[in-house]
Amino acid sequence: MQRSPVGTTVLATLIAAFILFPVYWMVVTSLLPTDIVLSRDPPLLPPLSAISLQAYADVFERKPLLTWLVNTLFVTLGSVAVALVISTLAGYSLSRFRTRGQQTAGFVLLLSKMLPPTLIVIPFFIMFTSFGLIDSLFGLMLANAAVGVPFASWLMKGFFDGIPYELEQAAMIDGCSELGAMRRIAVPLCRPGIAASAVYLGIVAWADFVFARTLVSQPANWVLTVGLQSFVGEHSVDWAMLMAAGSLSLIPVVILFLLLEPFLVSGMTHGAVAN
Amino acid sequence: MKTTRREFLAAASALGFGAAAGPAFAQQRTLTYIGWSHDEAASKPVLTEMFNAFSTANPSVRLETIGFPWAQMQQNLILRMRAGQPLDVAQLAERWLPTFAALNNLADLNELFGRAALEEKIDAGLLRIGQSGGKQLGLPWTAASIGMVANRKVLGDAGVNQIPTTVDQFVGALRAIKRSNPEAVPYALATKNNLSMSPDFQVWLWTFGGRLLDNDGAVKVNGEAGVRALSFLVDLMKENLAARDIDRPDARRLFGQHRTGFYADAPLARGFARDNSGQGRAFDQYVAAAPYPVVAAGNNPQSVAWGHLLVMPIIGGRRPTRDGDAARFVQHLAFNDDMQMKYFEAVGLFPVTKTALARVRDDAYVTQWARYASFAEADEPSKWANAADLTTIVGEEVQAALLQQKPPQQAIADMARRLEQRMRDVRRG
Amino acid sequence: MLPLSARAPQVGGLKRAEARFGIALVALPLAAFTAVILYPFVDALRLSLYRYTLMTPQPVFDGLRNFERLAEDGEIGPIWVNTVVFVVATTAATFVLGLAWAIILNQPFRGRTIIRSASLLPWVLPSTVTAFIWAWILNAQYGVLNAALLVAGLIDEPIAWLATPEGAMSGVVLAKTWLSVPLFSAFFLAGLQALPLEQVEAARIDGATNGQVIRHVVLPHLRTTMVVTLVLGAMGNLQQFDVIYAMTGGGPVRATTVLSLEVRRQAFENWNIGLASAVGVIWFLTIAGPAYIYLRSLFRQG
Repeated sequence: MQRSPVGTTVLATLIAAFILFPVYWMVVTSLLPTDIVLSRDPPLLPPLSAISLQAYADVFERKPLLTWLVNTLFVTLGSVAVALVISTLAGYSLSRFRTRGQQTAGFVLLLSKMLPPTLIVIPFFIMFTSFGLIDSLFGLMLANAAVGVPFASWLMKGFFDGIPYELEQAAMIDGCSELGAMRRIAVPLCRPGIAASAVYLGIVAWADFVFARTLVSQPANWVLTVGLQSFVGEHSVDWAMLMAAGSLSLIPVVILFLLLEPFLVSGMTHGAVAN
Repeated sequence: MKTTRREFLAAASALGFGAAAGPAFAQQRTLTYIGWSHDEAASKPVLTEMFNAFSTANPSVRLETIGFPWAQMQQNLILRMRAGQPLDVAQLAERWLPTFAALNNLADLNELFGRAALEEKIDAGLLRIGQSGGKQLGLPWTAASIGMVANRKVLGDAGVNQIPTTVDQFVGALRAIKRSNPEAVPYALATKNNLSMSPDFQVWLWTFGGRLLDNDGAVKVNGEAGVRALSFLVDLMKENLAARDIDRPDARRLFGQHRTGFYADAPLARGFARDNSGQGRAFDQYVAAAPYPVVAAGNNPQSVAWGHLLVMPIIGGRRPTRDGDAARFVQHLAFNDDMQMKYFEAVGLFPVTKTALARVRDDAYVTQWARYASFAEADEPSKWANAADLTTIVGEEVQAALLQQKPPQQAIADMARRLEQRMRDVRRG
Repeated sequence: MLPLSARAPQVGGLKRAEARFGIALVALPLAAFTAVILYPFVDALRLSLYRYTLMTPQPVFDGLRNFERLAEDGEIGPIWVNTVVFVVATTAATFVLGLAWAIILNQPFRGRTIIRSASLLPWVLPSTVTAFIWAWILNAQYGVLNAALLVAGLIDEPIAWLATPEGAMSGVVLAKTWLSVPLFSAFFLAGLQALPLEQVEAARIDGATNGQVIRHVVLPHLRTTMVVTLVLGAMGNLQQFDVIYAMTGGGPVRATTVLSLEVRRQAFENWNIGLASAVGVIWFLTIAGPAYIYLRSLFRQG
């Protein structure tokens, strides 16, 4: 506004450099031998002669990184889909039908989010063991959905609150069923809310470690967060391989983000403006 | 990219069914082994080779090996055993044994192999690390101690030409190192992680003649020896002869960079120094197995017993038999001298059989280490099922004193009080 | 986003068919909710009354013994305080920095799109990687922070940042803040972009300074977004586990042991599930009151 755009660019770049330093360092250290990285004077600019892609080759040779990525994507996308359906319905009903029971359900929904996952995972383990869902990606997907639903429902309720109920009532007068009115009027108008919830749910599932570690043990079913732990050994950390795997794990997210970014941002803003 | 296809299939089958633990080949018997070492980069190649040797010799057995990260091994193993998932043989750290013994479903190897047969193969002293509650629940796979390692170059640069053997000589050497290189951490005592602080403190406690607990679980640490040992370490910190924020990985790194004179580690120390220095075997000349210093010349140097065990859990009433697949596999790893030597040569883990130990006598580092290790004592908390709780208490109180949050007397008194509370639970059962 | 103007129908005005529809609509979420949210929740609380350890394959009812033990040990108090300090500090820091960053990103400047996208990367970084990098930055022996300060001549010898209670707490707050600023600023940015420019222009014509525009126009507009982000952030920080665990393990001497770490220690190190649940109950009782009042006011507003 008052500051010149060039000044803002410089300021923003400096801050971004600060924000991105750990990411930069992850990539740099994946390319260097560890005895250089963890020396008393770490080289902030990698010496070109020391750069090697060996850690990347090692990761692919020794660890099933692709399996972890596929598993993570499956669990993440699956739990987003499941949780999105449930929380859209729940959010709609919390917003439109306010009985005492529903309000109570709304409270409990959120309160249940307040227990630490390290505790909630125990009943999950017991329950999944008796249903044979232990060590299954499907079970993990379900668990992640359950973790995300409370807040996502609440988020959706907020978005539905922003859409006047009169629109649906008008549609019903025109002969639409309640379900039809919800599906054709409210849900499409709520797209930014769905996008925001999907992002939230995606992060929850993508970053989950506690559930994945406890509910799944078979290495073929490991997700990324668990797999990365396997670079931390009894006596030493495979620093370069850990950082190489970490760098590689960013690729699918970046691609996904590049594809979705215009949709997410414009969706969010359009939605808000349309209101 | 040979593995890609297999990975893809594994992922695909996981997507389809999830529960992948069932037997896949009806005509083959499946043997499930769980450990961590075969999943770590350093030991993966040699263990894969050893597993393959077993599969070749036993074509009717399909060996399924599952690797967990070290830090999650205990948790995953207990959860799996609780959930009744298949498991025939597992690798344990020696200090986890009492916790697993509490599950009450590990096979007693004395019954399985016979006491005499075990002692014929492995020295009775080494077998102790696999015993709990009077039973031989674990078979030593590798055994040694957490002992002192010294850096000859750092000592030489400081003008210390003999590895110190008494506490006074040791402190003298540390001061000399600090004088010659003010940036060095003369003694990289563990000061960060409870799991390392507890054993480091115990060795000094024993050196000064104290114990945490007696054999019945009565707390003994609250005495003169306890206060002396902790005060000694606190004084090292105050004199900058030891430093804050040090765990084993930090100590190993400092060691490989010639920035510390002493630290405590398993015999693998030589291998870590090769890696961390970037110099490989050329670094071996600087690595010396040192005795923990003693109060009076002539005392035995103390250290903590350390090793890996193989255990055979009884899952769903399936009891291992003497010539069953699991027993054969365990013997293949721990009794077979060729395998024991292969493992030693690849990663430096000491063999356990008498005959294999005889074959490594010409390596001075190994013989020195083994000599000091012969006096090793078991980690005290690990005799009890609530070992994790006890270790945390010891580690926290030691750390509080080292970071000068409370005086050593206070820390020892608090440690004793807290240990007593927890041992009451054990006695109550 | 989320304007508060809309009025939802009240119970009294509901027609019978609509009510039936409402119930049908709730059935699926309700069933899912009962099975995978309510049941684990209640069960976790219930187990606090049981003795359930490695030696007891089945839980044994034990009354309030677990709570008595927590009282005897006296460790839960400091852990409770740690948790509050961590949650409040991290949420506040993230809130302020996230908002500031969003306001900067909302300016038109060259390279905005790429900086905006790139600055989102921290929250997709795997937590193990995050924790190791931050532990390395702050490491006493070979950390980059000490290296930089030594070179700059600001300190004479390396500082063990994570070895003091305050330093370690600041360290984990810093790492978690760094991790969540992108998410917060994304939310704020979405809110800011919905801000009608005319309002800002009008305020400027009235002679408002930048600060006044932010205080009187921007912040009121963002109110709902702020509430959502605050709740989301506080909850996330309350449940934070892996970064703290990997960075400090809860130390030194429990200085960064927050509730979720203590629960894990009791449950998965000591295998005392009953005691772990008792810790959870204490926590729940502390926050249930304020949370209830706060949520009710939110529902009323909506």
